[in-house]
Amino acid sequence: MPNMTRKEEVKEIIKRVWRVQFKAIGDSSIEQLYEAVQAKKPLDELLNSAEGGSSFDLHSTWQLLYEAVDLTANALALYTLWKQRNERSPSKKEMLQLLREAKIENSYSRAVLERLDILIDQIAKQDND
Amino acid sequence: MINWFLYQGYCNPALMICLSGFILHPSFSWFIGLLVVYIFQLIALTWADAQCSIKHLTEAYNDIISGDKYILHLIDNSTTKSIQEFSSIGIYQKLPVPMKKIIKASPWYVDVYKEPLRVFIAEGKEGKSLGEPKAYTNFRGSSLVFLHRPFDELDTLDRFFLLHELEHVNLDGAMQLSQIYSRPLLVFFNLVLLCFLATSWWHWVLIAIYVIINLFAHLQSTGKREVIADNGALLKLSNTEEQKEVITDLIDFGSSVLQGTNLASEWMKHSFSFRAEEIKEIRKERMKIHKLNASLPKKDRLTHSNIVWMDRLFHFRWYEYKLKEDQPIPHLGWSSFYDNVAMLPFSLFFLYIGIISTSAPTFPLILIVIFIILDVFWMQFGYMNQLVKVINKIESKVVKPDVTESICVQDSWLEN
Repeated sequence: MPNMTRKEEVKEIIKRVWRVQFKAIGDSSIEQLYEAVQAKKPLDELLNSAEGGSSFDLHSTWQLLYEAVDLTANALALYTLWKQRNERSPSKKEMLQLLREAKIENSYSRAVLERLDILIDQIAKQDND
Repeated sequence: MINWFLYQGYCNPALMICLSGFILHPSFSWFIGLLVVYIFQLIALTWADAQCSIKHLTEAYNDIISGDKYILHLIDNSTTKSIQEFSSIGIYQKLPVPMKKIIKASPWYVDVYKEPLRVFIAEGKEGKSLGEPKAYTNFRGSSLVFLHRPFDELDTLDRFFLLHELEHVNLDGAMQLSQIYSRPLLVFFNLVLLCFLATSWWHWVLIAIYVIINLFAHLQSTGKREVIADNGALLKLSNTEEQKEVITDLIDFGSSVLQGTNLASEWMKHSFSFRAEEIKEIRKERMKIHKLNASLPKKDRLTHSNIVWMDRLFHFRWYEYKLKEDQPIPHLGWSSFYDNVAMLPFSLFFLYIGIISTSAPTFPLILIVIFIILDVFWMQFGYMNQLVKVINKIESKVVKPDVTESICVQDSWLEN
C-alpha cells in the first residue's frame, strides 16, 4: 500500500467492498465518515435530520457505511500491526482470529459483518498491490 | 371504462349508490343526494390537498429552509422546465383552459401555480449534509425537491434517486398522496351512508370487510408509493442497459439494508432461490413474510421500513427477471386492473344497494352538508390562509439573492 494515506486506503477498500453504497453517498462523504470515525463523532453530527417529506432512505446506508469505515480502519490497523510483528502478511484465518479476539462481533451490526470475508480479502489484495 | 367503473365503484360507494339510485328511482331526493355527495368528494379532496401541502411545506421549512443549515442553490428555470416536462409535473398546468379559469375564480385559488416545481441543491454547512434527496409535495404551488449533491456529479444511480423523488411530486405521485389523505374521511362518510342503507346481515358483513380492506390498504399505501416511484423512475431511465445496471445496484443496496435483521436476513437466503417470474409469486412471498413476521415476538419483528424494503426488493428482482427475458419492465399503477377486478364484488354490492334503496338516506346527507359548510368555512379562513403563510415564508427564504444562488445545469443529464 505504498504512497497512500490511511484515509485513502480505507476509501479504496470501502469502494470495493461496498461499491453501490459508496456510489450512493459519494466519494467526499466517505472522507467525512472517516474523519468522524477517527474523531469519535456520532453520525448525527454529520447529518441534519430531515424526517418529513419523501426520500429514498439513504439514512440506513449512512449508518451502514459509518460502521463499515470504522471496521475497515480497525481491521487495517490490526493487519499492519500483525504484519510488523510477524514480518509477513496474516492469512485470512489468522486475520479472522485476530478480529474475533478483538471482539468485533459485539461492536458492529450483522449487516456490516456479513461482508467481513470480502473485507479481509480486499485488505490483503490492496497490500499485495 | 370498465377499469374506471370498477375503481370508482370501490372507491366512491356513496357516488355509486346515489347514481344507481337516481337512475332507477328518479326523484328529487336522489338528485340532491348525488349533488351533495359529488360536492363532498370535491371538498374532501381539496381539504386533503390543503392538509397535505401544509404538512409537507411546514416540514420542508423546518427540515431544510429555516435556520442556517444549508446554502440552497436553485436550479435554473429552463432545466426545471425540462424536468417538469420529463416527469409530468404540474397538475393544474395540465388542466384544460376553461377548467383553469374555474379554478382561478374559486376562493381557494393561490396564484402560485406558475411554478409547479423547484429543485434545489442543498449544500450543507458546518460539515453537516442532507444525506439523501428529499421531496415535498405541494398541490397549491411549487413542490420542492432538494438534492444532496450537485447535478454535475450525478451518475446513473443518482439520476434514479432524483427521478424517484420526482415520481413522488408528479401528477400520479400527488394524486396518490391526495387519496391517502382523503381516504379516512371518505371511508368514514361512506360508512355512515352504508350503515343507513344496510338491510340484511350479509350487507353488514360486506361493509365490515370493506372497512377492513380500506384500513389494510391505508397501512400499505406508504410502501406502495415507494414501489410505484421506483417503477416510474426505472421506466424513465434512458435504456435497458441503464435499467439493468441500476436494478443490480438496487438489489445490492436493498439487501444490505435488510441484512441487519434476523428474519430479513433468513428471507434473503431463501429469496435467492425464489424465481420472481410473475407478480402473483411476489404476492405469495409477501403474504408468507407478513404471516411469519406476525408470529414473531414483538421485539424481533421487522420494522415498517424493513417491510417496505422487502417489497421493493421483490419488485427489483421481478424487473431483473423481466429484463433477462428481454421483456420490458411492466408499468405499475396506483390501482391496477388486477386490484380493481378483486374489488368487483364491492362495486356490484354498492350498485345493488343503490338499486334496492328507493329514496336517499336523509341523515347521512345532512351530516355531509354540515361537513361541507364547516369545511368551506375552515378552508376559506383557516387552511388556505395557513397555506399561503407557509408558502410566503418559504418564498421569502428561497428567492432572495443572498440566500439562493441560481446555477445553470446542462439538460444533458436527462438524455445520458
